[in-house]
Amino acid sequence: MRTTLFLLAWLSAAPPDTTVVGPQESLREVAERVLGDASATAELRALNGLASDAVAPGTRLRLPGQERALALKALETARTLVAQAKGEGALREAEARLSEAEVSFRAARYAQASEAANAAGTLVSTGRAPHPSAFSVHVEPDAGTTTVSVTRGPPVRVEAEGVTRPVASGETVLVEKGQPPVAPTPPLAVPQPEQPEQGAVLKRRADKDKKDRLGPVKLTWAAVSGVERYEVEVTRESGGAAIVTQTTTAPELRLPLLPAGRYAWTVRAVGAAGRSEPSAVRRFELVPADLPINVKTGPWQ
Amino acid sequence: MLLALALPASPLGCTAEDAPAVPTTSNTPAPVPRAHLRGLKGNVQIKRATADEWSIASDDVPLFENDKVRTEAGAGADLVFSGNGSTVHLGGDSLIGIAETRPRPGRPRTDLTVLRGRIDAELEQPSTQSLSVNTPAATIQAGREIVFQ
Repeated sequence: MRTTLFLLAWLSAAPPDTTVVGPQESLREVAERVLGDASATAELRALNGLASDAVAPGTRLRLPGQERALALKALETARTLVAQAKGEGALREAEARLSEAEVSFRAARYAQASEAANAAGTLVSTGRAPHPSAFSVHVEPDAGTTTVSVTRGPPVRVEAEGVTRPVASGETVLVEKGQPPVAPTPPLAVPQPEQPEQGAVLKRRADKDKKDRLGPVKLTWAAVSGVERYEVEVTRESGGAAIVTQTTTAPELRLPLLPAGRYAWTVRAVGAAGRSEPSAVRRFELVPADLPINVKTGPWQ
Repeated sequence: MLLALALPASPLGCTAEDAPAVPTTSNTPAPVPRAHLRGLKGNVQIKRATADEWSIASDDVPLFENDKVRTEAGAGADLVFSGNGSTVHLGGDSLIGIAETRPRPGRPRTDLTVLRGRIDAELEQPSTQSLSVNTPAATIQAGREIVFQ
């Protein structure tokens, strides 16, 4: 019984959130080791009442608790919101509250930092005209990978494995099961069609077997960086369903033989960042080429 | 100790007349729909939390906690959430579940769980609305909870 009491007394006396300064370790190195942030020396100084960064090896330092993580999250959110609100009303006051939050955070006054950061975020949000928010979530059939794309409005927060990442409008983030969200990738550029020229009339010969089919026709466009493949869609100019839908990894596509007529085509880029918008519609007309006249040359001429 | 535990359960000193009457009707409040299913296109099916079978969904059907909705390829439907008016379009070949409203300590609130497929969500006024979507890999939060979290 006495042993248990001693153990309980020792456990309650042991500081729960402390660390000991190692031999030849600076305060900056301690901050890097325990908080993952070398610039957090001011917080450690404030928490431990230190006048300077000089600490003797073997010194036991008090460390911030969970309230630091909460304050940091509030600060990151407020920074994002204030940065996005540049040029909008109510920004000056929000910036002042954010600055106040930064000062409180460095002084290890985490509760005040959270409060000021939330106030800054609220000022920015309420000062804005309401922007509708739109985003998509796609879960692969293997139930492992989640893709989040924000198409408009304020940022959406994506959280996985304890890491939260804001995803702004136009950005896409991919989350593998059991992994934190990766940095949002910028949206893919829209491919620019090159050939055939807009409104081109293409004279092509009929196929040997299928006389009503003409070709070949090759579509080309400017390559897009970060692309995995391109999706090409060809329709009759009069509209209706696509008559050709094909993917290719190169920035060109040789179409199958087609009947004479007017056609329209678009191309999209597809990559890790999702699908781009379709390119501008490019049109061409396919007409039968005149039959060639072959005159054999010979000595009788 | 055993005696102390046994006493309250014992009928000693308690006649049948003294025992509290068993209520004949349940006082449990009627469940409140979390969302309604609208704009159905193609084959959309629903499985109630208490049911084992899938059934064909109909327009404007209310959805309660732990209900599931699935769509075949090419099908689609809109979920309109009663609480905040946010709208979620459910794409083809998808499977979603309506989350519980009961808060769980240490876990963020969830409106919807996407198990497979694609949803497109819209919040007309994100400063006053919020939507939280869970997937097997992540939690997505949109709207006012971003500021006040």
